[in-house]
Amino acid sequence: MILGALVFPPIGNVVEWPAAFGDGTFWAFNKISMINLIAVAVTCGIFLVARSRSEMVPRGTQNLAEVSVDFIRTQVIAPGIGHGGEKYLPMLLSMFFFIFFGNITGIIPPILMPANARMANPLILALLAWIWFIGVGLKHHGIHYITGALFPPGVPKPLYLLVTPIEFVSTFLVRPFSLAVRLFANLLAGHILLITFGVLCITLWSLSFLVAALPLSLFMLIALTGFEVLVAFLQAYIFTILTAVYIGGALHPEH
Amino acid sequence: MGVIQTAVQLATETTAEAGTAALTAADQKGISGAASAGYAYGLAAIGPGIGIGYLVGQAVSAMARQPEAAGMVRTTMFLGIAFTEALALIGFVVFILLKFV
Amino acid sequence: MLTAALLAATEGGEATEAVVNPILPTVPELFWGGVSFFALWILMRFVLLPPVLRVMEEREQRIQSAKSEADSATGGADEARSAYAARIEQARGEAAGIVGAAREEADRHRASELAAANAEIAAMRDAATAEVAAAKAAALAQLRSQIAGVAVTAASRVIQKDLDLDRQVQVIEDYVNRSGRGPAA
Repeated sequence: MILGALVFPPIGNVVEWPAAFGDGTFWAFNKISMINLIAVAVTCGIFLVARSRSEMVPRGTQNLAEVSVDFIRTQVIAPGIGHGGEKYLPMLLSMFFFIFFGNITGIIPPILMPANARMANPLILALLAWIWFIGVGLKHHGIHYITGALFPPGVPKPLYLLVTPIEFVSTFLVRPFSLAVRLFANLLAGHILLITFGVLCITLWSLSFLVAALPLSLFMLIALTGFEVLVAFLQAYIFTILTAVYIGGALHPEH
Repeated sequence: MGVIQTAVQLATETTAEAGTAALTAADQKGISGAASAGYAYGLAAIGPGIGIGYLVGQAVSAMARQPEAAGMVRTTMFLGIAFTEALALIGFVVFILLKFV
Repeated sequence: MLTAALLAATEGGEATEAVVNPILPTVPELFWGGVSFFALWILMRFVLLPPVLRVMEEREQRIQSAKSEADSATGGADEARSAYAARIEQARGEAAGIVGAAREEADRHRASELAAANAEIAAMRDAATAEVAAAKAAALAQLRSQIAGVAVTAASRVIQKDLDLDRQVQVIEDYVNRSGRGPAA
């Protein structure tokens, strides 16, 4: 069999990483933790450099920081939350950067592992978004937020038998779940796709006539790497704007 | 469903015939899971594929009709894609669960 | 060779394969993810974002003030322009008044000059007419006396006797007067 050498590594080898230290404890530090710290450090670096060289006409790093702030304001808070959304700027901004750097490490050569291809980060962020939007709803509307969400006004009374369970599941269960799974599955799929073409490239690197197919595989690998850049940005944006939309829905439930 | 089951059984049987050693229950489960994983993802991708195609097409025609509202339409389009895509991604998770777990 | 390395990686992974679940998160990863994100959030909230926001705010304010300054400057320029236009208008009116006065003056001057010239011409013409009349009268008197003398002399030559000059002169004068009036008289 010619393609007998094509062996996909077991999934544990491509997403699970051994602990550098603290193995077996709750603070076992592995590659994912390292990527998280890198994401925090890079974000801090951008903003600290922007602060140390703050000029009236922004350039370079300062421009990057201000563009990101402006992006979150105009593209996430304005359409998602609307009026009164300015105070959620720090959370949404750090969310965006944390997710984006956790995604983009999947294609940066020495790392080549998206932190969000593990369920931990998406789950933490989705739970945070879930707690946050329910908390905002309770803070601004009290218990009326829950009743308003479960018993939407203008529905005939018998239909509540049908509507209330659906609303409960879709608002309070599916939202955090889909937020986490969307980010996680996108990144895991991209990661596995890149690995697949990488493995294919390695396998085709042989003396048989199949090496003729290597350029195609390599082209796909490069194209998918470019696609992953787009996915990294888009998923960070979508996660952030969905959080903003949920918070906006809790803040102004009448809309 | 019947087709899938038959295919799964067929795959299982051929693998069983090919293998020399007797298959344990865990191996059986792994083989049938791996065979159905592809169906799971393939079926899960149909609906969202149609949905995203329709959604983006409508969004493009809306943007062409009203270029001044393009920003708003784009934001809404991404939200819609995110919601639609979630189904395919759940299918992908099921694929991972069937294939690797 | 690469394939061999891949196979080696594959072999190495098989020991842990049974316990791996690629979906479920592990506790350490949850812990580090949570710690990292909350650290980033707190830093962003209290350390990283405020200076950037302040700079953006300052720039916004500067732009606003510059804009309002520019607006007021534009207003000043408009005022200056309208004042200038008013002054131009005034000067133009004054100039028009000066020109009108000068023209009136010139008209008056011309009229008076004209009248003086006309009067002079009329006086000269009167004087000339009077001179002509005087010359004519003198010539007429001279002619009359010469004609009378010639006629009387001729008549006395004809009749061979002296004629009373005064009476003849009377006669000739009568004749000349009649002839001077012409046949219509």
